Amino acid sequence: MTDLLTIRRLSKSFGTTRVLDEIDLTVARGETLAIIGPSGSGKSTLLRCVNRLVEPSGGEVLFDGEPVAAGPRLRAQRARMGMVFQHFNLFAHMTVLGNVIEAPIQVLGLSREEATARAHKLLDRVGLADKADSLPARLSGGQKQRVAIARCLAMEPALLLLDEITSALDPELVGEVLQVIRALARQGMTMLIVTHEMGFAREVANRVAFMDGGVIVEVGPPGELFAKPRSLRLRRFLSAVLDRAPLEPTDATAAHDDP
Amino acid sequence: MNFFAFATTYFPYVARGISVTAELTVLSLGGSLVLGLLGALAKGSGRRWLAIIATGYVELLRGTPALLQIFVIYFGLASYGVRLEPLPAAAITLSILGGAYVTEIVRAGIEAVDRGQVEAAVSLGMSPAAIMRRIVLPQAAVMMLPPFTNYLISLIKDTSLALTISVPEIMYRAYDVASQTFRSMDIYVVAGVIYLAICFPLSRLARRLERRGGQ
Repeated sequence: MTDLLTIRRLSKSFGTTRVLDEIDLTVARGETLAIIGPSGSGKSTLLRCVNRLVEPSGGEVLFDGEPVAAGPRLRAQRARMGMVFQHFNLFAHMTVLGNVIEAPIQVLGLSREEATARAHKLLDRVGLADKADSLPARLSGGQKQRVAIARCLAMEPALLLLDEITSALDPELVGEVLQVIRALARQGMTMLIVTHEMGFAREVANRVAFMDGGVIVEVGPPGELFAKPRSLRLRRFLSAVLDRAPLEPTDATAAHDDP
Repeated sequence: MNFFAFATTYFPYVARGISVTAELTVLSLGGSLVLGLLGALAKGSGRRWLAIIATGYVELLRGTPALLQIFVIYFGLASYGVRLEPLPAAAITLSILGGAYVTEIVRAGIEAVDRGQVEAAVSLGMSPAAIMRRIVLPQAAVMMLPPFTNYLISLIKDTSLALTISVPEIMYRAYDVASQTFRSMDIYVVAGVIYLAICFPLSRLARRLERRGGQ
């Protein structure tokens, strides 16, 4: 069995609102699966149910063949699933180095020296070797996100969960973060990515899943999915996000521009 | 006798109360820290009945005068056969009252820590205890310092209420001098200067901490 992650009939309701409706999805070892879809379609909730930041209402998640559920094994499972967040969520009172060595020391029981050596290698890999002693507040958004990725990688995770990691970034900073993820994909890291970057999903993902209204509408290789969307919902979504033409000034706004 | 002669004569007598005020402050501070941490833990425990007890405790103590609380502990309990010495009675009262304030200070500090950082720590597999110790408390402590210093100032001033049950602290001694010399204004100015000398630096410290925290 080569699936690292198996999601079966996963459901989540908040009150009477059904956010996830019996989701079935698998991620193979070494695969990058991108989840796209309109806001509020349940993408982030699905991701957060995988590592149990959100408790699902039904169904199950198998990670490396073992159910992910509340219990003594959950922390060890979380330690092997890295998560990168939209808003970085760096530990604000710790330096960049402190952020990266914290969990390896606390959770994996590494010595400070081992963790520090590992952290320096990773910071070098994400291009932030010179920022080890900076506080997060002194970094740009793109730098913060790369630190967050290094913090995850320091745990040597088997799976990365990326939750709209470029959505809070200024447009010119998106590229540096995506480049790090692109390199990880090439190295065979297994990743589940929620993203609004269609171009990136098309380029880096082995498969793309389109979610809408709490269900997965279509899954397929990016070439097929983007070129020949089968469902009306996906066609509409793609035309809305891909054909975003710059707005022409209407007569009303043009009139205001006249002095 | 002019004011300065009077003040130099009686200052040493009143100033001897500083050690009693300090003792009462330290005992009450320790007690209120313990009760406040327990209160904050109870409120944040997620157990309904613990949270209800903690909320009831905080509201009961904040909603009644400190003087009434001292009388209940000292005179009220005595009528049920629990006879406390004045100093312990005052320390217990101020601890219970302070615990209510510290509960709110600690709870507010913990709630002010970014939830996203806690989620990140959870997702890294850190234990709840490690998250509290390494992520939440260090950041909450910084935010708690200014309100905590303000609480310390009001505690020092509240120790003067112990005068009413004959604890020989600063205010008690000033009152004593006043009733013997009938120079109320002069001796209370002396006592006021002592309180001010203790509290003013603390209040400057709180201001500085607030400004630093605001950055």
